[in-house]
Amino acid sequence: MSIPETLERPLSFSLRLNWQSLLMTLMLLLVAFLVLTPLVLLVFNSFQVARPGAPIVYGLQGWRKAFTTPGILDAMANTFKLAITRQLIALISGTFLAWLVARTDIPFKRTLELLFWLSFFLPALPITMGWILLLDPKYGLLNQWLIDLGLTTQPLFNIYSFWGIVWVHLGGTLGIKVMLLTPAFQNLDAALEESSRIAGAGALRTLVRIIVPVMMPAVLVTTILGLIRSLEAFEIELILGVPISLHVYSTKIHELVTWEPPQFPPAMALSTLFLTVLLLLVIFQRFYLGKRSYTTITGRGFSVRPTLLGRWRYPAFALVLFVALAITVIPTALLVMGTFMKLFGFFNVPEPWTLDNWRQALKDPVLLRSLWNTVATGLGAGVIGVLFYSLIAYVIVKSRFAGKALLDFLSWMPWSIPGILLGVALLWTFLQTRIFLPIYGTIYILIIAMVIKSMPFGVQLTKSVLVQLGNDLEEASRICGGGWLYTYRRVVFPLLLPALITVALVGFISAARDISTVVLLGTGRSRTLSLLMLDFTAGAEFEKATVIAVIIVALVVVAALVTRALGGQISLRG
Amino acid sequence: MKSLKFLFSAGLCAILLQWPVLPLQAQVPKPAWKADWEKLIEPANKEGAVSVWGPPGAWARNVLVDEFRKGFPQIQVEYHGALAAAAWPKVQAERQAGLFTIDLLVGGTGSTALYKAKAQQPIEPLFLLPEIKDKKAWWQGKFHFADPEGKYIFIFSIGPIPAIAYNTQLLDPGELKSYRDLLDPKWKGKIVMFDPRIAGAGGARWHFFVEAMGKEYVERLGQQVVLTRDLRQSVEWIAIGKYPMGIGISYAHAEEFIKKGAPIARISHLAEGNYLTSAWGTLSLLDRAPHPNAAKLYINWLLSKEGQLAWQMTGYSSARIDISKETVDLMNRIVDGVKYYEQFSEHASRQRDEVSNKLASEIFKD
Repeated sequence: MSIPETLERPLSFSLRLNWQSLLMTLMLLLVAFLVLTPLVLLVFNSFQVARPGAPIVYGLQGWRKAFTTPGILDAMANTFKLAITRQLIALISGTFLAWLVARTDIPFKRTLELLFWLSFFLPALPITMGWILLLDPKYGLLNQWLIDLGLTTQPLFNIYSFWGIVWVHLGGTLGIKVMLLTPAFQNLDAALEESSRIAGAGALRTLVRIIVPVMMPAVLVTTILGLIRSLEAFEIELILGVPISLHVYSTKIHELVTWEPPQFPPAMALSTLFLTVLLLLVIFQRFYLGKRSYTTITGRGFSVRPTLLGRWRYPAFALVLFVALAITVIPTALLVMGTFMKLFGFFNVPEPWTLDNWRQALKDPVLLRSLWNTVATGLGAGVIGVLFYSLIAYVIVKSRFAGKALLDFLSWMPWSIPGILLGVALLWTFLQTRIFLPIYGTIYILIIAMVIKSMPFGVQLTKSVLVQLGNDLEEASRICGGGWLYTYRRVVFPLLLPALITVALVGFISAARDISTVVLLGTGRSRTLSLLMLDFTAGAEFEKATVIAVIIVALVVVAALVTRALGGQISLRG
Repeated sequence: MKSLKFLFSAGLCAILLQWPVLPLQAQVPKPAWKADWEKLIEPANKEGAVSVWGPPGAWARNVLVDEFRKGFPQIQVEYHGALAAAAWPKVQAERQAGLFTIDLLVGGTGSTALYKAKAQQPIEPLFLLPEIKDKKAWWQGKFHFADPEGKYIFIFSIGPIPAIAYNTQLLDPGELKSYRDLLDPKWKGKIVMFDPRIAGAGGARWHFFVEAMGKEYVERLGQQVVLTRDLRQSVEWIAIGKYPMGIGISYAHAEEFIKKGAPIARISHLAEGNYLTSAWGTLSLLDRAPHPNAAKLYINWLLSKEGQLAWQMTGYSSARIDISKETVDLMNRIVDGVKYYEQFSEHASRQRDEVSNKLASEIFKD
């Protein structure tokens, strides 16, 4: 069976008006400036080999050191092993879970979907500490319970292991898969599956020949997103991997940056691997998607009838609930519990429970300001981001602008710099571009930084929805004399609104929990909650940091609930 | 006549009563420093803010912001708490762009990079209060600086860091007399250490071992220890008994665990002595500081008796010897008769950089 024939050519807006192409060119230039400047500065400074404070000297020592760093090849191998293992597990189980949530009649679907959203946004550090509390081979509560119950004589789980790292990451990895694939499944016209069955194809053949190909844009975006996130992840690996000498690429970069004195040139040289991997992935994505079309939404409307599971309905529900609880509720509960402990994870100290952490954190004079800065930065990044990303995505998917392939490529670029170095690259960018100087040190600069950081996610998410939108509605607008901007504003934007609300939410939440991008841009005045959490963590006040983490999670939940109440979803308006 | 007598007596009494006061007022003019101090308050208040880059955590903010503001409520402290190593890339980038946003840097190695870039002002000329200028009030009767010229990075806190932290249920401190005892095969894989290659307490302890015990010792020690790069983890592992002891771990974290009742204790030093560090206790003034008067006022507050007593509330010892050490952690006090290696000087930090860090990289290869 071939790809379904819902598939028209992308709408072609000729360049009737010069101002339209001028606008698109300006957008291309703006995006190029925002994403290439940090990248170029980063590469350029990888050749600046003078020690901190010494006069500038250029050379290749940084590059030489980068690729002769002891253990770098092992670290690279570990990185790919971990990333591929995680992605395979998450892709297979995430696709299945997303299908259950989106296309079947299991109960409480929206609540379950929300739980998966949450797991993606939980802060890594306290969550890792929570899992250690449960699964440490020596004192892990779960291991101890199993031994006490006589079910085993040796600890069954060891969080300090390859699989321990995979497990702790799985919550976030699975969360993003379900988050992105569920709406893609929801946008799938049930008529396609029915037609396939009528044509004699079985369930498996329908899955392989119809569902998987139609789902490919979303699958590729989530896979690329997952791989890149896997490459740059380092907090969990630092805590669980270093003690067993399991190093990954990003912990090597972290090591160089925190070296005494910091070794930025080799760290920057190492980060070019991200660029290489990203280039390969983007080229593959364009090659794979370029020849096909994925429209499922046209002027004709489409069927979203769920598959009835019959007697499997409740077992399937139980399965999804179990996974959702395991990756969301358990770590969140551990995190909340930790805020009431005198020492996180220590039950055997005198009077282990206390309200002091909350009392002290809440009376900290910088808390309110940090909360306000977080909300303002999140809202700013969410709203500005959504407008910017949707315009970029629209030009890439729906216009015939000559530079749209380049624009698409550029929109991926912020992910070519690992988070730990993006902060310093953006600092250079803003300081060496005079137009940003008046807002340097304010939350506006944090907003711009977060808009840049979240660009690949926002643009690709919007794109994956836009490619499912047929052209007939826009053609109707064009026939009535509407230009591309008018059509975007009056036809496309309202249709995209639910998805855009979600993109805004992702922008908001990313801004609320980001540390590495804003750590050098924030000041005492523009400190966000995540920076306050870092402040407490670095200041040996971990329990207070967990209080801030819970406040961030609460903010995330409220934002997600508000978004859903507003009708946000990663799909088109039905 | 009686009334004349009374008037005369009353006048005489009044003159006699005034006599000791009037000449005194006339003879003792206001000291110059006091006039300078009063002259400083107004422009400092007018600037209304001072920008300080200091240690992370509420414990530091409580002292460096809140205590200062108790005396000078009209001056806001724009406080940025972060590891000082992070100060350098930010300050360097800002300076290249012609921005000068930070007045003062408290603590850490970032100030050394700023010194090399000639980004600081000499600090001593800004000392106003006699109690600061009086060198006898400071340890060893002199000012200590962390830069080779002895002008820019003032050290206001000097003290030892406990040598070893151990689990009280697993280790008898009597087993350890000398650092050579750590090489006993029974401790192989039983000692946790913060990775000495990266910024933190591990590097300082490692450098002490290189200086005090020599190369052969650290090569053998490298085979005994398990490294971590998470400051809290190292202490947590001792508290839960995963490892009976730790060296070069976070002093602040260990202190926090002990305060909260975890079964941890510390050994201040062993036979071969210990090292002295400034920890977070250095102060430097950046050139072209945006709030020069408020910064000057802040320097004079922080280094005064009052400021240093406030600093000691953190548990670190002031380099002032004319104030009570009551609030200073016992482990952080200098003890007579113990051999100390000074790690706060520029020479020590160069040695650490050129010798000890290289050795660490050779020994820990992963």
